[in-house]
Amino acid sequence: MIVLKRIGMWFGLPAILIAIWWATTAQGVNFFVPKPDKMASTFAKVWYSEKFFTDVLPSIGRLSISLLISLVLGVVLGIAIGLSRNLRWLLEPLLEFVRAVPSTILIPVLLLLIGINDTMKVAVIVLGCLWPILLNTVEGVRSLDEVLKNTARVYGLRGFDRIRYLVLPGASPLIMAGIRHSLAVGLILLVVSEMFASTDGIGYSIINFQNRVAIPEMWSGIVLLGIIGVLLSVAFQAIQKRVLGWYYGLKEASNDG
Amino acid sequence: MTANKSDVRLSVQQLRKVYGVGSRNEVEAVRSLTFDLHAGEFACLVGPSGSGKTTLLKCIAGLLEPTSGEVVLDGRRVAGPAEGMAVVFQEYSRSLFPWLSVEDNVELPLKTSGVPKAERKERVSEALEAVSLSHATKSYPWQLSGGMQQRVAIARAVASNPSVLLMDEPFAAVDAQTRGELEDLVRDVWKRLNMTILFVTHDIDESVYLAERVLVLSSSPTIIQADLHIDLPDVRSQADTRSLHRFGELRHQVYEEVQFAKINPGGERTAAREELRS
Amino acid sequence: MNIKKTRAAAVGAVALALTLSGCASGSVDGSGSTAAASGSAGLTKVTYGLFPSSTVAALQVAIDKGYFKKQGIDLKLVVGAGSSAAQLPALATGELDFMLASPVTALTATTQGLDVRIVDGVTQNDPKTVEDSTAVVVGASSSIKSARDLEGKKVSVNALGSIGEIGIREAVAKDGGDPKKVTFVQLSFPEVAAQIEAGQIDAGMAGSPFMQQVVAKGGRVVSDFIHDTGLGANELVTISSGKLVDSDAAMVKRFTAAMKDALPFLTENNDLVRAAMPASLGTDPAAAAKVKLSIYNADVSKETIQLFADLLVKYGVVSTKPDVDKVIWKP
Repeated sequence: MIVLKRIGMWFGLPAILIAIWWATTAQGVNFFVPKPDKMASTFAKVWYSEKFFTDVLPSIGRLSISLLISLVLGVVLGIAIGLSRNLRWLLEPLLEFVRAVPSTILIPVLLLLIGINDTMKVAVIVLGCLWPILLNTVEGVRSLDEVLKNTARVYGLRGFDRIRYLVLPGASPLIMAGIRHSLAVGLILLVVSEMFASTDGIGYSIINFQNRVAIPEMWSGIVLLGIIGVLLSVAFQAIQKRVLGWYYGLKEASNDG
Repeated sequence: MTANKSDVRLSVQQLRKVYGVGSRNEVEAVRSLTFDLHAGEFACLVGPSGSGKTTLLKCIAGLLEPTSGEVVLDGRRVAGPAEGMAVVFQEYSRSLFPWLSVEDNVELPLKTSGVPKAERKERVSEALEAVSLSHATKSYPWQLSGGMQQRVAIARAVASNPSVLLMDEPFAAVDAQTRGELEDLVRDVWKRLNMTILFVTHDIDESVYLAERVLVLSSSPTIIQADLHIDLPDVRSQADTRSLHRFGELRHQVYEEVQFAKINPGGERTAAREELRS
Repeated sequence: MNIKKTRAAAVGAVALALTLSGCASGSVDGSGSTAAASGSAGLTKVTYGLFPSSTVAALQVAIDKGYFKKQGIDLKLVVGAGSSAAQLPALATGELDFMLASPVTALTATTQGLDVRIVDGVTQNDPKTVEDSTAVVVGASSSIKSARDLEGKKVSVNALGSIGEIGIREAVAKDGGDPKKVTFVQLSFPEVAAQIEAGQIDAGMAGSPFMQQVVAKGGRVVSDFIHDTGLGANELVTISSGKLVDSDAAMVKRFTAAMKDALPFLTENNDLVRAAMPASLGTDPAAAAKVKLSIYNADVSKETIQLFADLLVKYGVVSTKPDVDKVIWKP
């Protein structure tokens, strides 16, 4: 019964959406909105082929590297800035300014500065994904419990130990929230960066299909993006559950108590 | 248990703390505190609220820098959190690392000060046994009751083998029954491990029950108003000791001092008090 | 949390799809000019979609001179920002009556099952000049001399799968190179000069005035591919939806008649077109004065359209052969 309920919740809404889609496309042919069954067969035809290797894997590769860079840079810089009042005072206005600029606007500039290669795409994605992680890390570091900090000081927790046992775990709930945000942003930026001056990738394929008026194929690319988004989210939540197990337990305990 | 008078573990010399020095809101929290704590001694600090107890404790622990005067631990001047000092805070749930299990919490200070693994494990299990928590080593702090959490904090302090154990109103946030158990636990640990304890509290009964020596602080700007010797028997129990006649007398004495402390900021009325007495 | 993410993903996917299909926006950018005639009572309102280019100014001149009013048509130009493929949905839904497009767009659309027809020609590549349309340029330090040398190189085109791709491949083939060994990357004209200088691309397809930018820095044109491949006779055409030409053939006839009258006039009066560019496109008047314009011709050459179709099949842009007879509208 519980399993059924879970399956129902997971697939319920998408199933309803697909049913509506089927019903509205059943009568008449709208060229620009293909029927679900045609969608499914086109999807298999397009992506279950060498395209997986020529376009999907490069895209996923770019996204992975960008997210990794954003994570490392974001956390390291975030901790440094969070721990230093001077750095914070110096950088906070600048950070808020840069974060407000959508990195897609910078694409023409980056095209000029870096060129039409993977580095440019990674730069676009990192410039968008870095800020949620960095700013959340700073906030997480700043909001460490005062009593816990004093305890750490009293027991001689210094330098790298302090970061490893106090700062990083303490800031991890906020850091994870920042990462979740970056995942969503990153996927969008990946696609957009591949729509300009690209030679491969999922975004490139979608634009290509649009140019050739290959509408079902274009939609299949979009569906693929959705699927990747869901997979990323599921993977992230599994990781989050492990990393923040203590945090959920703590929240639950304080809610009961 | 007699204190070895020649072995001074902690020496507080004319400690003074002024907040906001030079600004318009200058506040002299602590005027001058001078006392010595000997090895193996159990001393309580009592005072009315606003008597700078927390300030004093923070200065001793090295968390706060005094405006003048000094704190000397084992002959070395304290200029920041010192090795050899352990603290048990009032807010136990905020003092334990929620992402570490009970045994990892107790182990952490040992780990970061380089104690080898085998010795660590031994000290941790001994400390947890001393506070009767051997069955909960793998639990997380938030899975435990308040009293148990405070016991973990005590175990952590004990395991680190400190010269002086500071306790900052550790049982104020705990229910009365648990408080009694924990008080006995602290005395037990103190005796068994021959610890030197400075215990800050606002609970007069508790101070008399626990200590050999009660220092009464005046209200702010704080000085030490009285230093009383508690001559109750070594072996104490919640049920019996508190109903002793001597307990009542000592309690009364401390109570009076504290009442007077409330109207004695800076100890300026000490002379007047002597007159009041006679 | 799971549910929210799935829902968000579904909604996001639908939104993205709709945007790309152009259903939501129709890619319509209302920066085109309005009909000159004020009292448009009795005139049929007709919309014509096109992307920013000198043709906008040309047609505006034709409107102002009353060529369309003469045929009882109140023509409104709708200038879009994207490629012509992005405006197709607006054509399909009837939001646009006509569209300026490359024959490539019309032909690929029909192979995909969309019913579009070519109703008349608009521009032709002027064989006498290179600078009137688009060509392949390289930088000063390049060793590429002609189309054949593009083999194995990275060339930019403004839209993949369109005239740039098939035209350049065919130019390479005609010059003796292997057309399959050219790598294409999509890059809009304004970006070409910088990327050539940065060495990110070996050659780029560019139109006016961006082509001139590269040449001014010491670069050169290596392939006037539209001319060389014979695709120039119908570089840009007017297309319409099958639905419209079948249901309102009379209006389409009037429209094409107006074009047949107007276009030769425009060819004779290039100065008028240039003068209209600042107002229509925001071009700097000094730059506008120097622009070389295409030849305006309303004829549709079946051979040329067939050549487009053949090349599309030859280079794998489409998988089925377009039916040229069906695509070219006959009045």
